[in-house]
Amino acid sequence: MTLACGKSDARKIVIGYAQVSSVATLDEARAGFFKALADSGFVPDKTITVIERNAQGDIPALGLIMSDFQQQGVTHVATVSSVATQAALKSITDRPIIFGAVANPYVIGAGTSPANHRPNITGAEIPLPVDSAVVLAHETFPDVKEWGTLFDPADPFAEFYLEKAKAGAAAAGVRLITVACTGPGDIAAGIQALKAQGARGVVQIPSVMIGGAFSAVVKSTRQANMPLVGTTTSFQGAPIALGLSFYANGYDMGLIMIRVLRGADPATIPFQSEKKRSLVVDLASARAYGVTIPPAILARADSVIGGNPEAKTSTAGPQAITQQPARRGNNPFEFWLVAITQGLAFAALAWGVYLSSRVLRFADITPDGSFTLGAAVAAAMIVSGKDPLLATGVAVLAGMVAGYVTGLLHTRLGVKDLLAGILVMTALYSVNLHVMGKSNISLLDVRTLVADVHAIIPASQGWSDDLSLGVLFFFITVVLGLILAWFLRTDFGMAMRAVGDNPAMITAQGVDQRRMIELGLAIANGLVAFSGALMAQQQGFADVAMGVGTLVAGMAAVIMGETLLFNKRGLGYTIIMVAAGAILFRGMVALALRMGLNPIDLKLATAAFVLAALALPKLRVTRSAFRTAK
Amino acid sequence: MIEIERLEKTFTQPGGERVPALRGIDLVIPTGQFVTVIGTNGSGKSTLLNAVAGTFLPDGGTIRIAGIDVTRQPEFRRASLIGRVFQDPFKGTCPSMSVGENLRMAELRGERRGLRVGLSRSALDRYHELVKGLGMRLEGRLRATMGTLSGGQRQAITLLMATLKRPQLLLLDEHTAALDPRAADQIIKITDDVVRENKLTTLMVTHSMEQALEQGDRTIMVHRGEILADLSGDERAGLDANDLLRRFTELRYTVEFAVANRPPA
Ligand SMILES: Nc1ncnc2c1ncn2[C@@H]1O[C@H](COP(=O)(O)OP(=O)(O)O)[C@@H](O)[C@H]1O
Ligand SMILES: [Mg+2]
Repeated sequence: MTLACGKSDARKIVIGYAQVSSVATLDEARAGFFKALADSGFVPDKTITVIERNAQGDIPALGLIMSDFQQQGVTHVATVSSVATQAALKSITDRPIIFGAVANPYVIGAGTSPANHRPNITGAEIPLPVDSAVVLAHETFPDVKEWGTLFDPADPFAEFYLEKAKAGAAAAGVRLITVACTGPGDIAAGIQALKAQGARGVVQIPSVMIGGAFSAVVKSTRQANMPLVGTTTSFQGAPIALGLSFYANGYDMGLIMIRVLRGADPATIPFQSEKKRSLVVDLASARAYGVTIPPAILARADSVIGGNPEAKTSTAGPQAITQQPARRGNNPFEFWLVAITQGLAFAALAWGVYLSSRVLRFADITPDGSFTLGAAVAAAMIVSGKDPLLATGVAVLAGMVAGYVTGLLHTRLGVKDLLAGILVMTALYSVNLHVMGKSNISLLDVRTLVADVHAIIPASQGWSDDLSLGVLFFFITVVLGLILAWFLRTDFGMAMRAVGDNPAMITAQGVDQRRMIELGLAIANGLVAFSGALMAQQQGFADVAMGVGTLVAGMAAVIMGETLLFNKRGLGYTIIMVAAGAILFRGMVALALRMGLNPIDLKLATAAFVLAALALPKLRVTRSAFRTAK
Repeated sequence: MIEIERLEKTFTQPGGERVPALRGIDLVIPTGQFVTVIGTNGSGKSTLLNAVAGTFLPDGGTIRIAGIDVTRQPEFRRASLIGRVFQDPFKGTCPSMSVGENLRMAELRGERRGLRVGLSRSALDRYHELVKGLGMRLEGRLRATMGTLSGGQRQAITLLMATLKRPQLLLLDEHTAALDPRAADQIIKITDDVVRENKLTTLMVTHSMEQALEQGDRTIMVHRGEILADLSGDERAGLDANDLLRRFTELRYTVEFAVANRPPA
């Protein structure tokens, strides 16, 4: 067949751009890449076509993105982050791949040396100077002889960077303590574990997962009085950071792409390595940590931010942030205060799970999604400047909608309870990403409920943030518990309880049990979302993955609460004990960490606690039965 | 008044076999009449009561209660018209809720349930008197959970619940069958009192020929989803349990014979 328009003038350029998630480092590389293209006249949608995809942390999706690129006739592939590059390496063999923001292309099998690599791939690597960062940490804080770092065992470069960190520690003559961390929710626990194992400061090695929740690292290290040294300059909150510019790396990647677009063969282009280091000192963060940066280090800094008039003026770096020093209690109970505050935040979750699993007897799995939804809505609204109270209220409404939808799927479409919850929970993952616009929102330096506490109780100005939140959460929990106890005793609440107890009976009393299930699940997930909103404000961030294991935690609290009942009955008692179960559960997790438990084993310990709570009443019964038998 | 016309229901068993449980039942019960229902196992008695209560929707026919056509109404919507007691003492109450709470829920049968703590002191006092009237010494146990009561005690409470808000129709499905003879007698006595006192239109299934004749004003025999006999007035007054049984057996054989000799379709 002949084309009517004849020969096309030039081969059309279609770049497929893939990125694994929206982390500050990767976003900077992306900006550099497109800037380089634009500077040479390659403007998306004008002179070239760009199909841009972001896997939003879903690594298997990268494989799909690659085959989609092929189907859409992409001529060049650009990958930012190592996992995206790995996915491209696996499925793209017949067209050029240009990578950026890859720490070490050799680890992922792109080649064996800068010049000797697979023919269709080239790009710009960014081997972060982790060893030098450890040396710098020692120079800045000479009193600290034990440094710790968290690492993500699933990260392909964890080992590479840990080796570098060890080399740096050896050079500086300090000890390096490492703790594995598998998800953003374990970061606080991981920092506690580092401290329990003797670390007095933290040099955080690069990791996409941990970097995405860097504000949690900042919050926890501030809490633990451990100075933090960053190994990338893209994340804010560490007093000092030594890294390489991801923006420059992305720009280099763009320059390589231009060479290939103009006809160069990728096989002939050696891998480029980012060399320009930058040392950033953040004086505001230093104040927040209560540490001082020695003048010698300040003098070496490429950029000083945080508004100190005597220091060098801020250069390219991120805009100066005005940071209120977080108030930190210095008493030894601070750790337990945090555990109790988190337990109080979990009380609403436990009540929500109690409502669905015990009152309605509905196996609802929605909480794994609605908990995050609450956190996401609250965080997104708070960072956009909305009042934290309002944000928390809207979070509750969002959770109610989620629960209501699960109910509708079950009652109107006949979907089994477990499946209905799974469907909504899965859908919420996307919804939560949309709400947040990225996978993690930091609430470190924005107005949260703490400010409201200060407004309500003037005397609280001098309290630590966690004490303020603890007091607030305590009042919230008491009020919420009273409301719940009242609600379940009203005519409406009684009908809801009856739906779980004997659905045939309550139908015969003229109650539409479908509506009761829908409304009951709405209330239950409203409580869960409330818990998520409180939790986000307590821990200082919302993360799209923070909901994993929520239902298990809620069930654990309910089961522990029931064990605490010691066969006493009554609604009021049960409600109190379920809340106590939530606090006890967080307390046990805290205790396990205090005792130096590795966070990888935390989930195992959780399962053991729940099992113990389940087995305890049985043991009691067996023993008394034995006594009677005698 | 209850008007049932050409009521039909066929169940499909899990294996795919079709079981006609109701084959065109016609039954009119004047207001205030107490009808007893007898029939062999599987003859369709429970199905008849369930269809009236709305547990499922019938395949054909109509049901009108007090002039309202409820044939297509879901169960919860017609609940305001109907009080029910089942054979299984576990079916009619919420075991983990208290006796008082169960009574309160039944008092609101078919009504809007609001955000009000309905189980007030005065409500409890009211229930105290009503439960005392049952003569089962349950008045002190309004706060006890239902699950701690015996089968007979539960059926007595269920009966009270079914009539606490006066129903247009009371449905009793072998509600004494699961009880020991003493408790069964007690429940029958309470039933008789309650129905008489409130002049309730009642449909009671029983497996006892004596009960069928002693209680109520009219007896119907159900067989293979049809009403075989409808006895009332003098005709019924002249019968004793043995007569009734004989009569029933005869009629059944006539039907079975007719079915067996029906030319193959
Ligand atoms: N839900 C059901 N599904 C299938 N078959 C049913 C169902 N309910 C009743 N049946 C069948 O309908 C017939 C009548 O049952 P039922 O009304 O319970 O009899 P009984 O007169 O003993 O109360 C029986 O053959 C029974 O197996
Ligand atoms: Mg039956």
